[in-house]
Amino acid sequence: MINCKDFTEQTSDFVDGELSWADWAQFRFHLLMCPMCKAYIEQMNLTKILLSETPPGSVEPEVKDELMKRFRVWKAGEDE
Amino acid sequence: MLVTSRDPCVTPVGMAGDSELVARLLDGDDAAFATLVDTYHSTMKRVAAGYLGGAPTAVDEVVQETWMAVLKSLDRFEGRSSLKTWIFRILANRAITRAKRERRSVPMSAMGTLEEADQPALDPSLFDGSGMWTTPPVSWGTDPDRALMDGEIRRLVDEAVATLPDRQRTVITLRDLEGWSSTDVRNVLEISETNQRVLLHRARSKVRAALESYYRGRDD
Repeated sequence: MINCKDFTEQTSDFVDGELSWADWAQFRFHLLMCPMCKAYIEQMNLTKILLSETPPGSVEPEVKDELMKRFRVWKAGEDE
Repeated sequence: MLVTSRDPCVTPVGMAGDSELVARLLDGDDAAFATLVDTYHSTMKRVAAGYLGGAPTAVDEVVQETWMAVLKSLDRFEGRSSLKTWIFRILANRAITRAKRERRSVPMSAMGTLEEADQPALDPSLFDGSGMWTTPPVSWGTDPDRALMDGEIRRLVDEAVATLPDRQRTVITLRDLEGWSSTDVRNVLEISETNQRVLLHRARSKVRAALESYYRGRDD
Protein backbone atom coordinates (compact mmCIF):
# COMPACT_ATOMS: atom_id res chain seq x y z
CA MET A 1 0.00 0.00 0.00
CA ILE A 2 1.31 3.44 -0.85
CA ASN A 3 0.54 6.49 1.26
CA CYS A 4 -0.37 10.01 0.07
CA LYS A 5 3.24 11.17 0.11
CA ASP A 6 4.35 8.22 -2.07
CA PHE A 7 1.38 8.91 -4.33
CA THR A 8 2.43 12.51 -4.99
CA GLU A 9 5.96 11.36 -5.89
CA GLN A 10 4.55 9.20 -8.69
CA THR A 11 2.11 11.70 -10.18
CA SER A 12 4.37 12.87 -13.02
CA ASP A 13 5.12 9.32 -14.09
CA PHE A 14 1.39 8.55 -13.91
CA VAL A 15 0.28 11.48 -16.07
CA ASP A 16 3.00 10.57 -18.59
CA GLY A 17 1.99 6.89 -18.58
CA GLU A 18 5.45 5.87 -17.36
CA LEU A 19 4.53 3.78 -14.31
CA SER A 20 5.19 0.03 -14.32
CA TRP A 21 2.09 -2.14 -14.22
CA ALA A 22 2.57 -2.96 -10.50
CA ASP A 23 3.09 0.70 -9.55
CA TRP A 24 0.17 1.74 -11.73
CA ALA A 25 -2.14 -0.75 -9.99
CA GLN A 26 -1.14 0.50 -6.52
CA PHE A 27 -1.51 4.08 -7.69
CA ARG A 28 -5.00 3.47 -9.10
CA PHE A 29 -6.03 1.68 -5.92
CA HIS A 30 -4.92 4.61 -3.75
CA LEU A 31 -6.69 7.02 -6.10
CA LEU A 32 -9.93 5.11 -5.65
CA MET A 33 -9.74 5.34 -1.86
CA CYS A 34 -8.42 8.88 -1.37
CA PRO A 35 -10.39 11.96 -2.43
CA MET A 36 -7.49 14.22 -1.38
CA CYS A 37 -5.11 12.53 -3.78
CA LYS A 38 -7.84 12.56 -6.43
CA ALA A 39 -7.87 16.37 -6.11
CA TYR A 40 -4.08 16.32 -6.33
CA ILE A 41 -3.89 14.28 -9.54
CA GLU A 42 -6.52 16.52 -11.14
CA GLN A 43 -4.30 19.49 -10.30
CA MET A 44 -1.24 17.82 -11.83
CA ASN A 45 -3.24 17.04 -14.97
CA LEU A 46 -4.44 20.62 -15.26
CA THR A 47 -0.91 21.88 -14.62
CA LYS A 48 0.42 19.76 -17.50
CA ILE A 49 -2.35 20.97 -19.81
CA LEU A 50 -1.73 24.62 -18.90
CA LEU A 51 2.00 24.18 -19.56
CA SER A 52 1.39 22.52 -22.92
CA GLU A 53 -0.90 25.36 -23.99
CA THR A 54 1.68 28.06 -23.34
CA PRO A 55 1.96 30.01 -26.61
CA PRO A 56 5.24 29.42 -28.45
CA GLY A 57 7.90 32.10 -28.32
CA SER A 58 8.66 34.14 -31.41
CA VAL A 59 11.76 35.62 -33.02
CA GLU A 60 12.19 39.37 -32.87
CA PRO A 61 11.79 40.69 -36.44
CA GLU A 62 15.16 42.49 -36.41
CA VAL A 63 16.92 39.32 -35.23
CA LYS A 64 15.25 37.30 -37.95
CA ASP A 65 16.16 39.91 -40.60
CA GLU A 66 19.79 39.74 -39.48
CA LEU A 67 19.80 35.92 -39.61
CA MET A 68 18.21 35.94 -43.09
CA LYS A 69 20.87 38.40 -44.23
CA ARG A 70 23.59 36.11 -42.91
CA PHE A 71 21.96 33.13 -44.60
CA ARG A 72 22.18 34.92 -47.97
CA VAL A 73 25.80 35.89 -47.33
CA TRP A 74 26.56 32.26 -46.40
CA LYS A 75 24.87 31.05 -49.58
CA ALA A 76 26.78 33.57 -51.72
CA GLY A 77 30.04 32.32 -50.15
CA GLU A 78 29.11 28.69 -50.82
CA ASP A 79 28.48 29.44 -54.48
CA GLU A 80 31.89 30.98 -55.09
CA MET B 1 -8.17 18.21 -24.58
CA LEU B 2 -5.48 17.09 -26.95
CA VAL B 3 -1.90 17.87 -26.07
CA THR B 4 -0.43 18.78 -29.43
CA SER B 5 3.17 19.17 -30.41
CA ARG B 6 4.27 22.29 -32.22
CA ASP B 7 7.39 20.60 -33.47
CA PRO B 8 7.34 20.03 -37.24
CA CYS B 9 9.95 17.26 -36.90
CA VAL B 10 7.45 15.18 -34.94
CA THR B 11 5.50 14.31 -38.06
CA PRO B 12 5.18 11.07 -39.96
CA VAL B 13 7.70 12.60 -42.38
CA GLY B 14 10.42 12.38 -39.71
CA MET B 15 13.95 11.94 -40.96
CA ALA B 16 12.87 11.96 -44.61
CA GLY B 17 11.57 15.49 -43.97
CA ASP B 18 14.97 16.38 -42.53
CA SER B 19 16.95 15.40 -45.61
CA GLU B 20 14.57 17.33 -47.83
CA LEU B 21 14.91 20.38 -45.56
CA VAL B 22 18.71 20.10 -45.57
CA ALA B 23 18.72 19.86 -49.36
CA ARG B 24 16.61 23.01 -49.61
CA LEU B 25 18.90 24.85 -47.17
CA LEU B 26 22.01 23.83 -49.12
CA ASP B 27 20.20 25.11 -52.17
CA GLY B 28 19.91 28.52 -50.52
CA ASP B 29 16.14 28.35 -50.08
CA ASP B 30 15.20 31.40 -47.96
CA ALA B 31 11.82 29.98 -46.96
CA ALA B 32 13.42 26.80 -45.60
CA PHE B 33 15.81 28.77 -43.39
CA ALA B 34 13.02 31.11 -42.27
CA THR B 35 10.93 28.10 -41.20
CA LEU B 36 13.83 26.67 -39.25
CA VAL B 37 14.46 29.99 -37.48
CA ASP B 38 10.76 30.45 -36.69
CA THR B 39 10.54 26.92 -35.33
CA TYR B 40 13.63 26.76 -33.15
CA HIS B 41 15.05 30.21 -32.40
CA SER B 42 13.02 30.98 -29.27
CA THR B 43 13.48 27.43 -27.93
CA MET B 44 17.22 27.72 -28.56
CA LYS B 45 17.28 30.90 -26.49
CA ARG B 46 15.52 29.12 -23.63
CA VAL B 47 17.91 26.17 -23.76
CA ALA B 48 20.95 28.47 -23.88
CA ALA B 49 19.56 30.39 -20.91
CA GLY B 50 19.50 27.10 -18.99
CA TYR B 51 23.29 26.96 -19.24
CA LEU B 52 24.06 30.64 -19.02
CA GLY B 53 21.78 31.57 -16.15
CA GLY B 54 19.77 33.87 -18.35
CA ALA B 55 22.57 36.37 -19.16
CA PRO B 56 20.79 37.98 -22.13
CA THR B 57 23.80 39.07 -24.21
CA ALA B 58 25.59 35.73 -23.88
CA VAL B 59 22.37 33.88 -24.72
CA ASP B 60 21.76 35.91 -27.88
CA GLU B 61 25.37 35.56 -28.99
CA VAL B 62 25.48 31.80 -28.43
CA VAL B 63 22.24 31.29 -30.38
CA GLN B 64 23.42 33.44 -33.30
CA GLU B 65 26.80 31.67 -33.35
CA THR B 66 24.95 28.36 -33.38
CA TRP B 67 22.97 29.32 -36.49
CA MET B 68 26.21 30.22 -38.26
CA ALA B 69 27.83 26.96 -37.12
CA VAL B 70 24.77 25.03 -38.36
CA LEU B 71 25.07 26.58 -41.81
CA LYS B 72 28.81 26.07 -41.94
CA SER B 73 28.62 22.35 -41.15
CA LEU B 74 25.28 21.62 -42.82
CA ASP B 75 26.90 19.75 -45.72
CA ARG B 76 28.33 17.34 -43.12
CA PHE B 77 24.91 16.57 -41.58
CA GLU B 78 24.56 12.80 -41.99
CA GLY B 79 21.09 12.26 -40.62
CA ARG B 80 22.29 9.96 -37.84
CA SER B 81 20.19 12.05 -35.48
CA SER B 82 17.28 14.29 -36.34
CA LEU B 83 18.17 17.76 -37.61
CA LYS B 84 16.59 19.15 -34.46
CA THR B 85 18.79 17.11 -32.12
CA TRP B 86 21.84 17.94 -34.24
CA ILE B 87 21.15 21.70 -34.06
CA PHE B 88 20.50 21.62 -30.32
CA ARG B 89 23.66 19.58 -29.64
CA ILE B 90 25.68 22.27 -31.42
CA LEU B 91 23.88 24.84 -29.28
CA ALA B 92 24.46 22.95 -26.02
CA ASN B 93 28.17 22.50 -26.72
CA ARG B 94 28.60 26.18 -27.46
CA ALA B 95 26.60 27.19 -24.40
CA ILE B 96 28.70 24.88 -22.17
CA THR B 97 31.93 26.35 -23.58
CA ARG B 98 30.65 29.87 -23.01
CA ALA B 99 29.41 29.08 -19.49
CA LYS B 100 32.81 27.61 -18.58
CA ARG B 101 34.56 30.67 -19.95
CA GLU B 102 32.35 32.98 -17.95
CA ARG B 103 32.13 30.60 -14.97
CA ARG B 104 28.47 31.47 -14.87
CA SER B 105 26.97 28.12 -14.14
CA VAL B 106 27.71 24.44 -14.00
CA PRO B 107 26.96 22.87 -17.37
CA MET B 108 23.98 20.55 -17.38
CA SER B 109 26.12 17.58 -18.47
CA ALA B 110 28.48 18.13 -15.54
CA MET B 111 25.62 17.27 -13.24
CA GLY B 112 27.26 14.19 -11.69
CA THR B 113 25.22 14.20 -8.54
CA LEU B 114 21.84 15.73 -8.88
CA GLU B 115 21.84 18.31 -6.15
CA GLU B 116 18.24 19.20 -6.87
CA ALA B 117 17.24 15.65 -6.01
CA ASP B 118 18.04 16.38 -2.40
CA GLN B 119 15.03 18.60 -2.00
CA PRO B 120 11.65 16.89 -2.13
CA ALA B 121 9.21 17.99 -4.82
CA LEU B 122 6.67 18.85 -2.14
CA ASP B 123 7.07 20.53 1.23
CA PRO B 124 7.39 17.60 3.71
CA SER B 125 5.28 19.49 6.27
CA LEU B 126 2.24 18.84 4.06
CA PHE B 127 2.29 15.25 5.36
CA ASP B 128 2.21 13.64 8.80
CA GLY B 129 4.52 10.85 9.99
CA SER B 130 2.47 8.18 8.21
CA GLY B 131 2.64 10.06 4.89
CA MET B 132 -0.98 11.25 5.04
CA TRP B 133 -1.97 14.81 4.06
CA THR B 134 -2.03 17.32 6.92
CA THR B 135 -2.92 20.12 4.50
CA PRO B 136 -4.98 18.39 1.80
CA PRO B 137 -5.08 19.94 -1.66
CA VAL B 138 -8.18 22.05 -2.28
CA SER B 139 -10.29 21.44 -5.33
CA TRP B 140 -9.59 24.08 -7.96
CA GLY B 141 -13.16 23.66 -9.12
CA THR B 142 -12.32 24.63 -12.63
CA ASP B 143 -12.25 23.02 -16.01
CA PRO B 144 -9.13 23.29 -18.19
CA ASP B 145 -10.78 25.45 -20.81
CA ARG B 146 -11.79 28.06 -18.30
CA ALA B 147 -8.34 28.07 -16.70
CA LEU B 148 -6.77 28.48 -20.13
CA MET B 149 -8.88 31.56 -20.80
CA ASP B 150 -7.86 33.11 -17.50
CA GLY B 151 -5.06 35.60 -18.15
CA GLU B 152 -4.04 35.68 -14.51
CA ILE B 153 -3.54 31.91 -14.42
CA ARG B 154 -1.54 32.08 -17.65
CA ARG B 155 0.73 34.74 -16.14
CA LEU B 156 1.09 32.70 -12.97
CA VAL B 157 2.21 29.62 -14.95
CA ASP B 158 4.75 31.69 -16.94
CA GLU B 159 6.09 33.22 -13.76
CA ALA B 160 6.33 29.86 -11.96
CA VAL B 161 8.31 28.40 -14.88
CA ALA B 162 10.57 31.46 -15.10
CA THR B 163 11.56 31.22 -11.44
CA LEU B 164 12.48 27.50 -11.51
CA PRO B 165 16.15 26.50 -11.10
CA ASP B 166 17.92 26.47 -14.50
CA ARG B 167 17.93 22.71 -15.09
CA GLN B 168 14.32 22.21 -14.03
CA ARG B 169 13.23 25.13 -16.21
CA THR B 170 15.05 23.72 -19.25
CA VAL B 171 13.57 20.24 -18.86
CA ILE B 172 9.97 21.39 -18.27
CA THR B 173 10.24 23.85 -21.17
CA LEU B 174 11.33 21.17 -23.62
CA ARG B 175 9.02 18.43 -22.38
CA ASP B 176 5.80 20.23 -21.48
CA LEU B 177 5.89 23.56 -23.31
CA GLU B 178 7.57 22.35 -26.50
CA GLY B 179 6.26 18.79 -26.41
CA TRP B 180 9.67 17.10 -26.93
CA SER B 181 10.08 13.38 -26.31
CA SER B 182 12.13 12.30 -23.31
CA THR B 183 14.66 10.73 -25.72
CA ASP B 184 15.27 14.04 -27.49
CA VAL B 185 15.62 15.88 -24.17
CA ARG B 186 18.09 13.29 -22.85
CA ASN B 187 20.16 13.40 -26.02
CA VAL B 188 20.34 17.16 -26.18
CA LEU B 189 20.99 17.79 -22.49
CA GLU B 190 23.07 14.63 -22.01
CA ILE B 191 21.33 13.66 -18.79
CA SER B 192 20.07 10.25 -17.69
CA GLU B 193 16.43 9.24 -17.89
CA THR B 194 16.26 9.22 -14.08
CA ASN B 195 17.65 12.74 -13.78
CA GLN B 196 15.28 13.94 -16.42
CA ARG B 197 12.26 12.46 -14.68
CA VAL B 198 13.30 13.89 -11.31
CA LEU B 199 13.85 17.36 -12.79
CA LEU B 200 10.53 17.24 -14.65
CA HIS B 201 8.61 16.04 -11.60
CA ARG B 202 10.10 18.72 -9.37
CA ALA B 203 9.41 21.41 -11.93
CA ARG B 204 5.78 20.38 -12.43
CA SER B 205 5.24 20.03 -8.68
CA LYS B 206 6.44 23.60 -8.17
CA VAL B 207 4.21 24.99 -10.91
CA ARG B 208 1.28 23.09 -9.36
CA ALA B 209 2.15 24.51 -5.93
CA ALA B 210 2.14 28.05 -7.36
CA LEU B 211 -1.33 27.45 -8.84
CA GLU B 212 -2.51 25.85 -5.61
CA SER B 213 -1.60 28.90 -3.52
CA TYR B 214 -3.38 31.10 -6.04
CA TYR B 215 -6.61 29.04 -5.84
CA ARG B 216 -6.33 28.80 -2.06
CA GLY B 217 -5.96 32.57 -1.75
CA ARG B 218 -8.91 33.14 -4.04
CA ASP B 219 -11.19 31.00 -1.86
CA ASP B 220 -10.40 32.99 1.29
